[in-house]
Amino acid sequence: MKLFECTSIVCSYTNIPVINNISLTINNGDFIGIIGPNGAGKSTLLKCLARILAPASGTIYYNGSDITAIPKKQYAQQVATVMEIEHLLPYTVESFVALGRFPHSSFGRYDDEDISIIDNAIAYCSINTIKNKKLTQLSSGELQRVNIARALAQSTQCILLDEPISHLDIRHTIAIMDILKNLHRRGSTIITIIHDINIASEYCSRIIGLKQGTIIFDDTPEKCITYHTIEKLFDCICLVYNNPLSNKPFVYPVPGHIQCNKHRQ
Amino acid sequence: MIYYYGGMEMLKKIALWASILLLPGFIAAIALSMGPTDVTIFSVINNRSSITAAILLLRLQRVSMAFIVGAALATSGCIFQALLKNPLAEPYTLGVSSGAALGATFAIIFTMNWISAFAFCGALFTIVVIYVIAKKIQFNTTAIILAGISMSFVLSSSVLLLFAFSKPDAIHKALMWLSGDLSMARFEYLQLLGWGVLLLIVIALLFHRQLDIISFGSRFAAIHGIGFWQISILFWIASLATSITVAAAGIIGFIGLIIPHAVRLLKTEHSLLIPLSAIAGGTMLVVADTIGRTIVMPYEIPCGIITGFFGGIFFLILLLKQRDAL
Repeated sequence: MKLFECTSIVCSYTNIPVINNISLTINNGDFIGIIGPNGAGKSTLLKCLARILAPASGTIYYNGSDITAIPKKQYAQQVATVMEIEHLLPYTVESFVALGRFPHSSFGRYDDEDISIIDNAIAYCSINTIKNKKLTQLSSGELQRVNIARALAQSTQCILLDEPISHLDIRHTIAIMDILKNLHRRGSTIITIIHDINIASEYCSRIIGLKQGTIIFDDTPEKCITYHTIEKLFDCICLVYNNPLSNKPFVYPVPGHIQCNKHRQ
Repeated sequence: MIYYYGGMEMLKKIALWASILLLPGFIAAIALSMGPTDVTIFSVINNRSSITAAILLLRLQRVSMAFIVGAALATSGCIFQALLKNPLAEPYTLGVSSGAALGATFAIIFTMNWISAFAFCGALFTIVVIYVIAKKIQFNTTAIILAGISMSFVLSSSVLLLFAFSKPDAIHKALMWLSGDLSMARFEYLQLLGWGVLLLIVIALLFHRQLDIISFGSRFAAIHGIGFWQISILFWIASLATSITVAAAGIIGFIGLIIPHAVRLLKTEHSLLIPLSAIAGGTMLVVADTIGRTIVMPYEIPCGIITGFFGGIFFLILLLKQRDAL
């Protein structure tokens, strides 16, 4: 069943196009990893899906309805977004996670069901021990888990994430990706931007490669992560093996083989 | 805990709220007892003289006016700091004070009447201009602040232009008004002002969760479904609170900046930040006004000067002590 359907989206900042005529279908239950070089338009695409940015042309449909026709609050009840927090304030973790329930509340009042959902989100992301800490006292890994718990409190069908594992060590990366994997198993649709191709290959059911605002490939990791596609996407030479444990493609960088001329184009 | 409280925690909370609510009452009682004539609440109860009662009533009006104006300015400061995502934002950031100053100066110089009405119209005109600009730039906070600063310069220059063509006594009166002087307040509007400010604070409290979310940034607000209309309502609440207080009592600086900051050291959630700031702002202005009218009796120092002077020193101390928390 189609969840998102994007038809010929064009998006630009001050007349410089960042997304060039993208058409894309995202099905319910997908776990999508969006990969691509810096400036490819990944975050812009995610912002369009999250309704932070409006495309210059083209339409995005959510469950068959044009997203601009859906009231913002109603949309926030169905799609949650995890992005870097612009202004980090000294709220407690518990208060911050509770903000996720806002789209479901009237005049910001929470009932027992809301409180139980907030508690479950905190438990699910294993942040019980830090729930009374201030956001400003947290490490990057803790902050990311708190941000995901806030999105979980939104109880949405779909979660969009913008680089949830950037700046995290491998332990915290696995912790975050395991949370997303479990959510996917429970039926959520996950769309995440990831810079680590190997993590994307390991966890995602579908990979979208984006370059200069256009989709280069869109398929399962096994089909789309190859020597040629990676070279085409990043303009650099990498070796691609299969992970002996999961049999998923595994990319190994080859030092000194960046195709400078191609990159400049 | 934000949802429910245990027995001990409930007791602590009751004690905290009781002291928060009793402190302003205690300070107000002291403020009522201070002045050139020796009149206290007890002397009125004992004597039942009409003169002492009248003096006390005048002081009560003055204290009430100070509390209402201080509460409105602090609430407005809270809202503007959240909306503009700027810790330096205050009720006058968007040029409301300059608009009111131009209106009041015009009234003082040309009519000597309707000062409050002209000040209110000046403030309202500024808000409408800023709102139209804000709407055009989709509430881009940096651009709104810059627009406010530009408006302030234009309006302040207009005030100075009026001064250039005015007589010295009119300039002196205008300067006293610009300093924030409760002695020139119109007490016949006290009740109306009180109810108006209370209504605005209650509406602001209904939007406490939106203010929490908006504080984290415009993207964060967008992903939680907060629309333009909610931001507009908050903008108008803060602007109207500033306009009516500036029309009633002139330009009283610093309350709207330091009180929300100081209270934020205790609580960051707007459900508590707004009422606590209102109480603290009101109390602080009562103290400042009492100092202003008693420190060099029989003369009066405008309370705007007191809030600026002592408030600035207090804020510097707070900044040095709590530099990590701010």
